[in-house]
Amino acid sequence: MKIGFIIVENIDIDIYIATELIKRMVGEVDIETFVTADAALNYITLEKAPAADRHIILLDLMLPRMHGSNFISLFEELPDHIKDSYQIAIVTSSMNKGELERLSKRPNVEMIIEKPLTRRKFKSFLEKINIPIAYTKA
Amino acid sequence: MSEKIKVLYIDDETDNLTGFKAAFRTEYRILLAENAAQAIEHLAKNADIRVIFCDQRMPGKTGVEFFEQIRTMFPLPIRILITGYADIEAVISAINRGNIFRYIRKPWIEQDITSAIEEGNKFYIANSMLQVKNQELQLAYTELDKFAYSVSHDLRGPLTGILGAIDIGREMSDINEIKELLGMMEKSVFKLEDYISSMHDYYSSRRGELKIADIDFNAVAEELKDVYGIYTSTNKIRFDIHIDQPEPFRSDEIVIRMILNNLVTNAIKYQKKHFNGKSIDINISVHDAIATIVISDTGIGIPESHFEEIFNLFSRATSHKAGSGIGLYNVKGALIKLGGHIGVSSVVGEGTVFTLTIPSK
Repeated sequence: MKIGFIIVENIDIDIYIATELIKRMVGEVDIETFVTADAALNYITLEKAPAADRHIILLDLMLPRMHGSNFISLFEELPDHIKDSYQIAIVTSSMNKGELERLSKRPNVEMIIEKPLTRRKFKSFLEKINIPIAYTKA
Repeated sequence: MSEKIKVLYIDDETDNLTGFKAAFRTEYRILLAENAAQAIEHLAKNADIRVIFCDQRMPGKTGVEFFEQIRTMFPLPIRILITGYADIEAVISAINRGNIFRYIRKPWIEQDITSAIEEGNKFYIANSMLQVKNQELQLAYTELDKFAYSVSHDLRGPLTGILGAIDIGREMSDINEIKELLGMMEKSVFKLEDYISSMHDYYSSRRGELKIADIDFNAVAEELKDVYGIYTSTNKIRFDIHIDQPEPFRSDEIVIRMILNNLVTNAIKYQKKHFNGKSIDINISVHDAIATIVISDTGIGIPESHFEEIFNLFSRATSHKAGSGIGLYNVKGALIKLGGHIGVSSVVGEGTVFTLTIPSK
């Protein structure tokens, strides 16, 4: 099964951490990074992502130009054949519990991961969505 | 006092009206009404009426009833009843219900009226001040909300980044990988530090009183060169300051330095990455008691659509550089305090020019 990752994040260190965790725990897979949600949405809408059985989106919320929650709303309007191959994990430092609670109930949101994104948290996310873990010391 | 206090007097006896006006017209601006309808007409036209006198005994409507009627429509003017002893029960209950501020016995003497107007006016001013303070408080709350929102992103963000980096760093053994990670952790710490110092600027510029003194812009320029010279030369940014100050200039030096520091830091931060002719130019000229400061850079520029909002709190024009969104807000706030003005012009990809004018105090 082919897996691709999309990181939507504008903070360098967080992009680095997410990329390293994917490389270390999932293995060599396609990773696309976007610093704005609209660019990521465009990429998904135009089906530019390399063919894969499953696409996993790691989505930050507080992004410039378009907030992560707007991304989710617009994503939900995409046709099913696109949406069906995607799963979203929100990775955020937001302390707005109400907003996070509401977002966790959205159909394509698999998990809310509170930053910091650590090996342990990423592992439990991968386990939840049944992605085999290639390697970890966590 | 530059303007006379506006007073409205309502009485159905025209003799009383004329007498009242004759007695007080030199000291106050007197408006007269024979009945409630006329009074309301005056109130609607004159939002600045401060004190209303009304006779209790009028055909159709008592003074107390009139005040009760206008209270919600015109809450600000101070309501004073003029009445004889016979109506004392009605007066007491009106005072207790908050419908009138005080009452004056009939027949009134000038001194009573004058003192009632003066006291009423004081109360009016205190009330208006309270309203202004309430609005300021509301504004402060709104800002606090914004701040709470930004805390999670700007204060917590860099920290969670560092924590995540430490976590993944634990399983790294390649020294180069670790160094790369350390570099990024350092950036996060700088970002946090930057945020905290601009928060500090923000609150000290909000709270602090201005300390006006003579400013020598040549000395200010020397200091800017000391602070930013090494950084700009190692990063191949030409950094020139030109001062033309033939006359003395008075303002708050700390505030002006804060403004310049913010703008220079921005000019450095938003330079184009791979560009050979990087430069920052500062021109300061003082003429006719006005300092004009022009700061131009060869940076990434700001789209015109963002010109307005870059001065708002927590607004960020760009995505790929990390700013706190406080810097320019502080700059604008500080300039307002100094009675100055800031303008921006910019071409995306070519650079930005900030033009400041500050009057001498």
